[in-house]
Amino acid sequence: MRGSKLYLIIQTALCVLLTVQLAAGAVSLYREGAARRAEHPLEWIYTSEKAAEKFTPIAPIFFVFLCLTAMGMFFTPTQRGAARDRNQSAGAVKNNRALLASHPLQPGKTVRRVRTALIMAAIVLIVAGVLNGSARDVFYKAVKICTECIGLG
Amino acid sequence: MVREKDSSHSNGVPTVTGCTTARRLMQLYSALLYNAHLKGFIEGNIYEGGTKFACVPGLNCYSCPGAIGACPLGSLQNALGSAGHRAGWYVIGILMLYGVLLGRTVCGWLCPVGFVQELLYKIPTLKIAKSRFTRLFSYVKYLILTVFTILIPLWYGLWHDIPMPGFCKFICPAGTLEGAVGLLSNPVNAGMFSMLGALFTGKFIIMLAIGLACVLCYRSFCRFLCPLGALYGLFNHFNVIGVKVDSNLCNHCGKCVQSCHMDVRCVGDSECISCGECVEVCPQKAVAFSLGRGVRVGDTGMKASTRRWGWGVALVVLFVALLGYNIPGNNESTGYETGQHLRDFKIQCLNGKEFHLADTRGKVVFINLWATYCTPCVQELPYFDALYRAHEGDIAMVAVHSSLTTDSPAEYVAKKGWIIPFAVDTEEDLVWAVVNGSSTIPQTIVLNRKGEVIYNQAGSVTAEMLAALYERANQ
Repeated sequence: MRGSKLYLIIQTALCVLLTVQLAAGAVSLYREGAARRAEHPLEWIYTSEKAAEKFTPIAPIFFVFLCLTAMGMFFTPTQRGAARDRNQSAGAVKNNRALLASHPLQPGKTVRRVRTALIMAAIVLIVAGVLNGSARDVFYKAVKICTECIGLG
Repeated sequence: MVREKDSSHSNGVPTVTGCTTARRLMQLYSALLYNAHLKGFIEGNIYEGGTKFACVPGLNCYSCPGAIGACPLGSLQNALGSAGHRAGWYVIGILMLYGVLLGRTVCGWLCPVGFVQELLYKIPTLKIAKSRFTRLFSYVKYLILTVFTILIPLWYGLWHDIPMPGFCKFICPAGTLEGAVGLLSNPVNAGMFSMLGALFTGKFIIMLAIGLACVLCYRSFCRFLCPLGALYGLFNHFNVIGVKVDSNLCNHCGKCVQSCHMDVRCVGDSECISCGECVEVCPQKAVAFSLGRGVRVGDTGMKASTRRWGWGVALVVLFVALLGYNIPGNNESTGYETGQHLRDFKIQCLNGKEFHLADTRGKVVFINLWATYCTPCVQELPYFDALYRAHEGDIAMVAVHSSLTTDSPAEYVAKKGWIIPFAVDTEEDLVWAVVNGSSTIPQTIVLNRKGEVIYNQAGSVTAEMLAALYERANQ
């Protein structure tokens, strides 16, 4: 038990370490690149060579993490209940009767009517969207990608 | 009629094991189907075909090289950003339809990002249990929905006439992972490294943080940050397909809530992703998948053979999609790289004059590819205008709008008072083909006085970069 706890602690630490190192590498790359660009406006902030230089030292840690993860998948017990709500007592849930009753298997008349109305409204809106050109807008923006919209900036 | 024995179904109701397996398969299936354009990963470009007008139900960035459909969240933000020009009824209707039919069942069964989060959670580490704190934190996604997904695009669209998808631009890890990393990882797109700066650094760090959170805490992005989940959750009370409670059988023991990984207060509330794990846990068998009108999945009497037929049809659809979207095409590039000359072309400008490349010899030439619905495009055009005004006799410039127009570029340009020549590309994408234009905009091409290409890259430029390019062209 203690062994598996130690293993989980090591894995967690490796995860955090990798994340921090990758983030720090990205920040360092950016700062150095921004300094170069301040002197020469056409210089690239990120280059594949600089990125390889920053991130290659992280590779051994990543490899160790992968090996330990693979080992753990096979040898440590499944973590059941680790994420269960220990603070939630059955008594607290019993107080939610009203909430439980409001999401019933057998929907009431109101829910069915609202559902039907929403479906009809959705179909009308889709047709209206096709007619007013907003469906075409969706298509155009999906095939001509704005670079900053995907984080390239 | 003898019902076939099926260990994944107990008394016709899916068991935990059967449900989990079916759910994993469905998640994998949807991830593959949404990204069926696999050759995009090899060629380093995105799919530009007709199915991209259709929004997929889950979160899947349309800049992913494999994506065959549009992202509902990105489409919503773009629609709100264009609210001043046109109401985005289509996206609103699509989201409403998915919400009413499925609600957050999309999150549990049809979202690739949810699938990735669950895989990350499988990495053995210490885990953070759900608590009152995580339940409180789950309301943050509504804040993100309101501010980044709705208010920011509306504000910029209505008051500044600039498209600004707030969530996509500043937060979305799916865009960073599928789009940015997906495109950058291909050597063909090495030139895209020129675009990377502060925005990419910030989003990369956000993606790392969310990844770490997902390893330590079940579906962190889904529970705490995803505005699409927040939106679908609002429909959970009305959704047709999802997990519901039979109030006639329920004895309010609360085991379903206790066993749930999500921050639910009861089964089927706005946090419930209908994963189905509570179905087997309920001692009263009061929890079941509903197909609407009180019909439990088990009650339909669905035989194992019927389920197999269903999966068979689904696999055929996937197989056809994978074949259809990956047919080898003629992708021969007719564009030019640095040091070469562009093929001559003529294009009619919006000011009535004609831009003829052959007539520009002896001048420095700037060609910009842009679109009214592209934020960095419209933000950088003033720099081009300023440069043109400063060196009007010495520079030949044309800003070519994509052939795909949503609003009238002529009207847009007239409102801005820019003097640089504008044109709209032909239906055959003449200029795009000549300059080796990609599907990412903006793109800038600069030619020196001898007509040689000295710069041809996608990504926005600054005033300093344009000045430096002008100096370089003069050397």
